[in-house]
Amino acid sequence: MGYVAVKGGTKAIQASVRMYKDKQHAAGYEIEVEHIKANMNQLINQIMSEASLYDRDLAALSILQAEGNMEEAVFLLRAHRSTLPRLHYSTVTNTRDMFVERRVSASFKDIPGGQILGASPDFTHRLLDDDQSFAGNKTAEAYTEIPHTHALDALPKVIDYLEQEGLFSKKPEDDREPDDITKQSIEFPSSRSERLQSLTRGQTGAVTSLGYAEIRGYGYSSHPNIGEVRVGQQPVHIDPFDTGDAYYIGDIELTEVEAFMPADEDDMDDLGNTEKTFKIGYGLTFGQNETKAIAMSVLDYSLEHPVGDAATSDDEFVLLHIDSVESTGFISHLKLPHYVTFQSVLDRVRQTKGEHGQ
Amino acid sequence: MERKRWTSLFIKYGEQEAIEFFNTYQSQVDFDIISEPAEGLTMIKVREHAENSLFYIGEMLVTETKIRQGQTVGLGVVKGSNAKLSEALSFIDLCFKLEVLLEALEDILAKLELKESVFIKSRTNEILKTKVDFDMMAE
Repeated sequence: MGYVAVKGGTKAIQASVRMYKDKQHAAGYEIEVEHIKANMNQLINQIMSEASLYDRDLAALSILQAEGNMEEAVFLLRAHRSTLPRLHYSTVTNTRDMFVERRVSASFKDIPGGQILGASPDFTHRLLDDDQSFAGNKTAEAYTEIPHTHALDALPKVIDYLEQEGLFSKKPEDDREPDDITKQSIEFPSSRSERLQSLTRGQTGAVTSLGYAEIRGYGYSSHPNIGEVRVGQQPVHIDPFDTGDAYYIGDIELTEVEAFMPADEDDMDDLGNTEKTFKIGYGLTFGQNETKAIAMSVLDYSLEHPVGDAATSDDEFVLLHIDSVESTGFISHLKLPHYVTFQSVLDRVRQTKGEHGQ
Repeated sequence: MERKRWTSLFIKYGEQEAIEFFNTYQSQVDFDIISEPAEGLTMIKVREHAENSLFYIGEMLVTETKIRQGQTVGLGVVKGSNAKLSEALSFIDLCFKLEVLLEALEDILAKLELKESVFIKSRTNEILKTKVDFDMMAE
């Protein structure tokens, strides 16, 4: 049978789009972008992180347009990003300057500055509550200043404590320009900057699943200890004229995780003696995305310190499968017409059957 | 005042003040527009603390305006879609570089510093209410 190009779907496609829009508005009322911004913070955080574009308004719009379909919202945001020029690169952003709104350590009870719970669902009942109305509970309280030893934009890091104890050796600053996977595809073996950029924009579920698999036995197989999870507002600066007098352009919310991993390899001290130390797995995401940031720290360590032929130590396996747009794009394309390629398969099967039948 | 400082004060605490300053004084300073407010991206470079290396976490939406007087360029860049603030910041940047209207700017910035200190004190207190008091647990 010969190949014949056909057309004729135009009217059906137009009708399908109309039906889709009608279905979107079937209830007869709509919510606004502002409603999503006001009530769906966590969803916005996840979308911005996976899309690798920080803007709460655009993320809310993408959620509305995609009817809450996360993969579609991420796709829309990535597509929009590709239409915009890149005007600037920030100066080096350091989370030591973060205005911390939440900071907990699972490794040390007493940390300088204290355990600050901030806003978190961790302590709420996981029971459905049909009363979601805003209680307006900002009752006037007498102002009592809480004494504190550290400003929230200068909280020491928990790794500093480990370093003081001689249990962690801080590396000298590596100022090499990072690779950028949005400009050039990842090449394997990947660089550290490619791995971290890829992990931070990975699909939350995929990053979490692979991080979990790594701990369960398909990799380093060790329970990490979370040295610090911090969430807060991070100032961003640019210095386009390279004068050293930078412009502040805004704050972004970040989640940072430093996970302690007992190092398999020993460090050598100045006298040539070997000693056990800790290594750090690192996670950093846009928005408050704690589970993803923790899983990122696990995968970062797993890729930085590979174990045999474990799947979670294989950078090509991990990095090429966690991207939302690539994985959902490929899987969903399977439902699109493959008439010609399938016809070829069909012809081969028919031919084989014919040969066997002779 | 360092640029890092005044841009922070206007963006965080003085959006209206910046726009009002621009509306009030724009006719007193000659300038040409290089580029009207337009949206674009800034790629954010971060330092990670495991190996102390650099990587790109992603981009943020920004609005940028450029104006000039002769060879002096005034630049206004701000997070998100915010044409008016970006335009006002470009004008204020030009004023600082040309060293004009400094007294008026310093008056505004002094007020914004007060606003900032009140905000930070109140926000810090609110956050520290969620600090765990282990002594209390032992009681």
